[in-house]
Amino acid sequence: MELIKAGSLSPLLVLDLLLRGKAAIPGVDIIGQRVGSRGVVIALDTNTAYTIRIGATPSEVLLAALQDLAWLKEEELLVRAIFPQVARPFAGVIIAADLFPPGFASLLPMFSFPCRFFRTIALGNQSFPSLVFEPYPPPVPENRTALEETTEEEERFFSSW
Amino acid sequence: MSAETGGKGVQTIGSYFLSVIPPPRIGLLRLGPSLHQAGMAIAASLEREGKRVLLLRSDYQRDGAEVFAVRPEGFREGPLTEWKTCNDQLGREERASDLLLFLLHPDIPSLPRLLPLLNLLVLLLPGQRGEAIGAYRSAKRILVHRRDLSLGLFAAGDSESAVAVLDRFLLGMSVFLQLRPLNFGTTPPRCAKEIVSLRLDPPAEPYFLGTY
Repeated sequence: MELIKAGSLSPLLVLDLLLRGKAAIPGVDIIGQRVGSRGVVIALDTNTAYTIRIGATPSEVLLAALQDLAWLKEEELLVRAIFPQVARPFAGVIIAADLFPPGFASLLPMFSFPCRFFRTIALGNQSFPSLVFEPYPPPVPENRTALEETTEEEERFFSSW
Repeated sequence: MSAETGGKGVQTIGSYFLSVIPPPRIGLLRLGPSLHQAGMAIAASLEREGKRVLLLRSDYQRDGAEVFAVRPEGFREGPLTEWKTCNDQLGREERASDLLLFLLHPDIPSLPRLLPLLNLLVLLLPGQRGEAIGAYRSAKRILVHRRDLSLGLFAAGDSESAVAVLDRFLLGMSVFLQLRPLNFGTTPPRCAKEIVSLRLDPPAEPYFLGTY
């Protein structure tokens, strides 16, 4: 698999792959159709219903995501009527982006509503892209994991030459 | 962007050129003993390259009432830990700088918070072969979780041994961690030239949210 340059896939294509179930955001269920006059895409995790926006950078789509959120809150009754399985609070936004500017993670605590961010990684080629979404910022484990341990091969490589 | 060039977003206040565009941030991660001097030498070389540098250290000791000191080599040095109490002063100095350097140690508690804020992380490697494995263990512990970082390697000590350590890391990190770090050489002037040539993008927000 080849890593496609960040931002080379259009947000519309990424959203289309999500809606058609050809890609998935970990821990998030996406309702497979656009809703309302704004064409909002709704996603659910265990606690919250979110609107979802895709962009090259978070700042590019943040305003649209907030407008979606306002619409979602106003049209809560309509959405519940269409999707009775949506019993969670309507309160959040999900943004998936290719690039996050340095320092962006420090801004996250300032958001006063539930929001989740994911990094979009595209593999394959333009014709048959495969998408991976990673939580942003990447979680840092408290304790040392097996991944962090050096192997015997690494020990030999860096100890004796 | 160099403040002296008077590029966009620069305004003159007193004797300072204060930019509304925050300077890029570079972490210098000490992966062995006696690498403090290497970090200072890189800061000095960046100043000689025409960059105004603010170097922040967690172990910085104040000399008198001033929050930061101007070193004989020309760069400014200040605390990493007093950002809550001296935010405005540090924010002002940040805005007057072309580069923000963080002299870091792999075990400082704030490292996970700092790493996502950096434009570039430079691993300062010891110049002795015997210290390479310890440096690699520390580097791997951090890098396996942060594969997204822009990375450079610098080995301290312009000697055959330092060159060997640098070559071993360039190869080892490629083979074992699938990373492609940049080669910043074994001398501070070379390292500074490599950093300057990267033309790093400024961050979206200043590190110190001073009063504008």
